[in-house]
Amino acid sequence: MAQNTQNILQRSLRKEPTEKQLARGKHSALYKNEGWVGYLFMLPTLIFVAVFVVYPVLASLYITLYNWVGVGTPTQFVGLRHYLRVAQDPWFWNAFKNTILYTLILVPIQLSLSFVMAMILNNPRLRLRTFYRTIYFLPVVTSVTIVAVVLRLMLGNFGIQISQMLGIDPPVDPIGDPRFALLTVVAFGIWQTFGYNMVCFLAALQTVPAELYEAAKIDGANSLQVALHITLPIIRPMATVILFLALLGSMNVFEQSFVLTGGGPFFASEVVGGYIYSYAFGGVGRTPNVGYASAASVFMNILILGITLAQWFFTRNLNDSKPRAKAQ
Amino acid sequence: MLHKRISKLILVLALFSIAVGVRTPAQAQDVTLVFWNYFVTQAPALDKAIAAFEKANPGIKIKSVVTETSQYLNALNLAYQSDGAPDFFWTPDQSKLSLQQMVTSGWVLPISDFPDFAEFMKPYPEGALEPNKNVIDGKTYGVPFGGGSIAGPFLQFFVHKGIYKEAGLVNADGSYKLPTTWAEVAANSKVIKEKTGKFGLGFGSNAMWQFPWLCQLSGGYSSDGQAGRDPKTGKFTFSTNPCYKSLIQSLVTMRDDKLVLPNVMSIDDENARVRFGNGEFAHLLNGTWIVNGWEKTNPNFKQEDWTSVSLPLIVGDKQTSKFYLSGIGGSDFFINANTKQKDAAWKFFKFLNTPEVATIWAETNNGVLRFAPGDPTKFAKDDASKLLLASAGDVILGPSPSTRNPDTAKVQVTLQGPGEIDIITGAFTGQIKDIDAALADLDKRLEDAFVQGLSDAQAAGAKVTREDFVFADWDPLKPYVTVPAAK
Repeated sequence: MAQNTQNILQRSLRKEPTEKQLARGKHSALYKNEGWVGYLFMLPTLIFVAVFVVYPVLASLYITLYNWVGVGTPTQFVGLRHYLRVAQDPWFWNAFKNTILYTLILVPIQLSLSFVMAMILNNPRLRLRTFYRTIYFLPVVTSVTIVAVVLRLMLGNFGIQISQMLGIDPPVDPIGDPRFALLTVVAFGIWQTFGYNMVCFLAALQTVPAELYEAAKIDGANSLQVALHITLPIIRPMATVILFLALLGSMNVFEQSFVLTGGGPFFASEVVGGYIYSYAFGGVGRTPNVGYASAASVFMNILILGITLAQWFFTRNLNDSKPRAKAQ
Repeated sequence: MLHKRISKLILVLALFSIAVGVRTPAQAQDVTLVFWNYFVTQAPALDKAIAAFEKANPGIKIKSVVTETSQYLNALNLAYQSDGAPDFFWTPDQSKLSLQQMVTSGWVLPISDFPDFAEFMKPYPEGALEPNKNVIDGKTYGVPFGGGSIAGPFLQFFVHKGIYKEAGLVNADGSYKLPTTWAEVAANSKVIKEKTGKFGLGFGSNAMWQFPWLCQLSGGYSSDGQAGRDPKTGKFTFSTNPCYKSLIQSLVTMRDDKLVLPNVMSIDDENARVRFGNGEFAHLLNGTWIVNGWEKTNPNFKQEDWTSVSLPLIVGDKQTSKFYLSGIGGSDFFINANTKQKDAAWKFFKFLNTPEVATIWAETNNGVLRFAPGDPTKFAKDDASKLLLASAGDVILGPSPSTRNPDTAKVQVTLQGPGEIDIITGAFTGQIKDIDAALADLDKRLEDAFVQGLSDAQAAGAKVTREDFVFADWDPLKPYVTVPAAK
């Protein structure tokens, strides 16, 4: 790519504050009192987090050590046994496998679609682009439960006919056939959440300076080159965050599976969220044990933490290796 | 001028009244009781009863709050924890939360503390109050609603007469060839498929819990919320009782022969009932409560279009067991121990147990209560209600571990993996191939979970042993009165 495009790109990526900005900051009242003022601003959030996040997490850790139906005070101490049982339960690992499959199928499709749609809808020459953005974002603000209930009714009554209309031979029952139930949940998940990521990508795309595109155009770059060499490098930090959030959101999937298929048939689409729920609140023929469910929840969080750390190391190494490769 | 001044004065007074909330004496006495329940098909009867109560007690209003059944216990629990519990509530599933636990948690008010309690109890039959179901430590917390239902098997096997007629399943005298065994159900379904192209069986995926009940008359046991445990030995018998395997195998064969509605795994119970009414399939296993629903969903589906029979026998042609109750009816509703309207709640409690309410309940086809005056059969308007009353002999008192020893409620059986309902589902969908192995594994897991639950309860101080669950002298075909263990 030509030198002028590269220079502008480098300046855009650095985003260092100017001397003027630094001087203005040092003389402000807030800067002088930044210690206590900062904490004061943080206080409401800290209280909120302490009450609604830290306390429930600690309480949940405590409950994992007991058998408890959820009413009254836990009295049957069982130590760490619930953790061992969760780790040894093949049905937990079945739910975990389904959660991972859900994530592995959903995230790449969802992010690719969101990115492509964001690129299309970021085009200022596209007519009615606000309308399209609203339409694609609509599923995000719609209640998952209500949509899943409606979808369940639709697919329950007409699923086989719909698959016939789509030319699937032999026709399938999208939520009643164990081979397709999870895929249907994935498709619903993509439809329901892709608008959110599309908006995030749109926000990221709008941080790309227009002059870069103009410079690239002057240099004769085609659309693919512009996307690969200008758009993607600039939005990469934000894209990494979007990827992290999409992965975490997918690993915590619950309503889509619970309402649409109930995790069935016979656990074919049960995800870890549903597994935890069934033990916490008891299903048909199952007595609730909040202690066991909490242990499953903590265990899952540890697994997610491990996966997130692995992903973080991977992403960091990927980012670090690029400048070194260039230097060589 | 004077007219203007008077108008201004009236306006000022009106505004003042609004601002300070002036009340009439009658309004000042009004109390509103919040009543939680999970009744949907029974709602018209309950509304009628509430209206009658409010008419008889002008100062008391009842606000009925209906919560979805599966979330009822969770909602109630959260309400208690957030100090927002209702004044009055219908009991949650007591196999998941016993009366003992509700009392220990300070949820429920002892009604025996009210001065007219003895007078209130006079109409109740002998044995209406059971230890641990109604009475804890000498205090009474609940009574069976309306004296308790005149019990019959609430699950029945519904048959679509129109399809039977179309398939020629009619005897020479015009009566229908109704099934009494599951083998006959399968045979009739085949004929139906051949003659009409319609399906023999349909159900909703969330109604799979009904299938194990088919074994209830063939040596299956369910008492105190724990299915599959033989009270004579205290052991789990899903793999040793031939009924479960036969039932599962038959369902799989019917599926393979295309005798079952194809999308049963993706429709729910309500949907299946409507489709049965629409004439899409001939047999539906369900509860007597579904009849009321057809009035709304299938208004053209009348009594002459369907009938119901007792649950078909899975193994052989003779009953080897019955349906078991642990008592006349347990406790159906409770007063919140923390309500500020104790007296009003007690008035409502007493009213719900009057012949007036029992009559409303029976007339609206919700079951005949003992307090309904006159001949109970006069309330039976349809085949399902008639069968319910006619087969009352199929429901008898059975052994009850929690009546014998309340500490048995502290034994928490946390079953890991699929239960019997899941196994029936898994086999039906083809996900389970080896039914024997799946049932044997279920028995083993239940046994392990039970032993662990027993050990945990003992470690936490509960005075409970395995013997509390064993009733060696029990005869499955005779009523059994559980005697509370001496303390």
